[in-house]
Amino acid sequence: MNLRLELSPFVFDISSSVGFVHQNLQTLYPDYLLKNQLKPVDYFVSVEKANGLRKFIRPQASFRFDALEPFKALPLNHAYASLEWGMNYVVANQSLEYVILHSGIVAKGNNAVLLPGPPGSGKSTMTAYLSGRDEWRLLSDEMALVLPGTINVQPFVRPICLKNKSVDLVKRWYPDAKFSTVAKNTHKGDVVHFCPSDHSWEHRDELATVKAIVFPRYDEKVDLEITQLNQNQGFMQLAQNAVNLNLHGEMGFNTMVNLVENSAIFEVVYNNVESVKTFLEQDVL
Amino acid sequence: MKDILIEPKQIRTILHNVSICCKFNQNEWETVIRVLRHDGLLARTSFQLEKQDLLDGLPPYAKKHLKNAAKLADNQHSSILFECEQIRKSTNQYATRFYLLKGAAYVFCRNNTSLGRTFGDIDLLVDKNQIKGIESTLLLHGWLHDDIDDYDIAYYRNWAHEIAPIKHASRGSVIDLHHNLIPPVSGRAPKIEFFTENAIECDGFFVLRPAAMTLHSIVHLFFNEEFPHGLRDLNDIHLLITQYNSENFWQDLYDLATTCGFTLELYLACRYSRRFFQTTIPTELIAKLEEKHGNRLSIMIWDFMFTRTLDTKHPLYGNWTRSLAVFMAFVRGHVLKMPFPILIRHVLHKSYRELVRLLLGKSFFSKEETP
Repeated sequence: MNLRLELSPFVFDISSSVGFVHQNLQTLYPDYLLKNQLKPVDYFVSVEKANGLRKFIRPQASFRFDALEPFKALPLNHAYASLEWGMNYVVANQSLEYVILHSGIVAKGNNAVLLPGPPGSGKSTMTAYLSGRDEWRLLSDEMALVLPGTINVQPFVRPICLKNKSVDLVKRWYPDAKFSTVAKNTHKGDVVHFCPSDHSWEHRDELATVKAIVFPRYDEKVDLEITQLNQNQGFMQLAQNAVNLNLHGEMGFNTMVNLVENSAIFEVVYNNVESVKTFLEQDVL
Repeated sequence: MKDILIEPKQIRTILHNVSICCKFNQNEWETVIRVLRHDGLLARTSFQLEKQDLLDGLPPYAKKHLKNAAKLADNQHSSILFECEQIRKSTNQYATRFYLLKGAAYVFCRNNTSLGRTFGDIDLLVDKNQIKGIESTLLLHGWLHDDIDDYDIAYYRNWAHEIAPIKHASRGSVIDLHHNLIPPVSGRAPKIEFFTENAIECDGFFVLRPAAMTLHSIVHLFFNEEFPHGLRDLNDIHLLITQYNSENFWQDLYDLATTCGFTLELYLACRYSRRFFQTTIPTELIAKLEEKHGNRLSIMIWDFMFTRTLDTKHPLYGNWTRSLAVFMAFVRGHVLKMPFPILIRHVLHKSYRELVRLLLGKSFFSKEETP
């Protein structure tokens, strides 16, 4: 299987002989992204069965960026997840036209909220929840592509990576949504990719402006606890989530400063995503 | 698979006449970018285009990828400068000279070859008597030996011209610490003073004088068994020669090659640099070298091997003759480097490991690494 995926703002050429990879791509990406043949390919990627006896005994799959193999092979069952992660890796390392932050990002209309957080903070779950609500849309669950020198973000709409318990939650919120097959026992646990709303896909080319930076932290014992952070605190925390800041030098630094100076910044401890949404809608945006 | 839009010849042409890039349409650019990136030549092409003021006139797609590659290379160069500064600080109790080789040397003397030259390791040459002390000092300052097996440790200690690479624990920078340019076990390691003579001081380090720098680049390419960056390395030689081209340079280069027994390597470098990149080389020099090494049968074999092994490595252009050429060059390199009994031992050991990899998967010997 070989297809061109026109994902704004990048075009990927994806090959794989692993059957369920193809299936998942067709389930999770809208048809119209798979049909374009006009724009040139930015990145050639593939995920193929590993060679040798490992074809037969505990088969493995390895991700390639063109002919390069940046990671160790993973169990075959992780093939689709490793393709998605590999695509993130390629963008994070190659696409210097953006200042990239490791962060979820959603927008209501064109007003965006950055949701940076370490694994386990509930960043992806929160992103998944918000991205499907009325007027809200997904920009990305993994990386915010900030245009250098501005506070505008280019969407990079992709399936959202859900781990362990959050899969059931999201299935409850969005019973009609489409999900990938399960990648069992990855380094992040059991992983499922989830197709974001049609509304998100349709607005995949529309820039949004960052209005707020919210550091989420899930804690089942806390209903809702909101702490406003000052710009210094915000900057330091945001810098920890910068992917390619060092490659942008002064421009990267200025972009971060710009973001922090123009945003409301909060740390939010929560156990209910609905109340975070209400807070964002009523007090922030 | 779709048709190949760009021939290897066009890739080689870009590397000595970058203005042909202006003719590519968007579809051709797709292949050009892909191939140059694979061969580690995208950033170099970007800088050469910029130098001739051609970059901004290119289609946005090409410009984007070329500029990104240049940024990555720039960043690599700043971190190399930083790492070298750290090395200097860590080892300042040594009165001995630290010579930078290859990529790091090009960056320090800011020559044309350095523009967009990407590389991973810092190659340092030091006095053999000091190497143990310097190694221990660097180990104290955070550089560590990678996890390598006993065979490889013995290989480096007994036969090689360098110690096993050391890697900084937190920053990941890798240093290759050399005491010679080629393995002494080959019996052909030169007296290193011939190379370090008249070295040039650059910001606390030394770089070899142009002829010695060029000859090292040549020997490193042609006295070797593997050519992962063959095209880039040959292009380095082309750029060095083109920049340093002068009567003194050629005399020095020829004399040094003669004294140290590397005239064959010099001949091969001239032959293929000229063939690939139309490098300007004095005809008398070529004639002298041809007289020594111009055996017709050998030339046929070398041509078969090197025109393929040194060309682009992108799998788009893979075929069985190329694989055969790479294999022949691999065998030739080993035979050059090791006396027969040692070679046999080495081959048996490496084949065993290769067999295990083939049966159990490539990653059998490597440590966990996941995206």
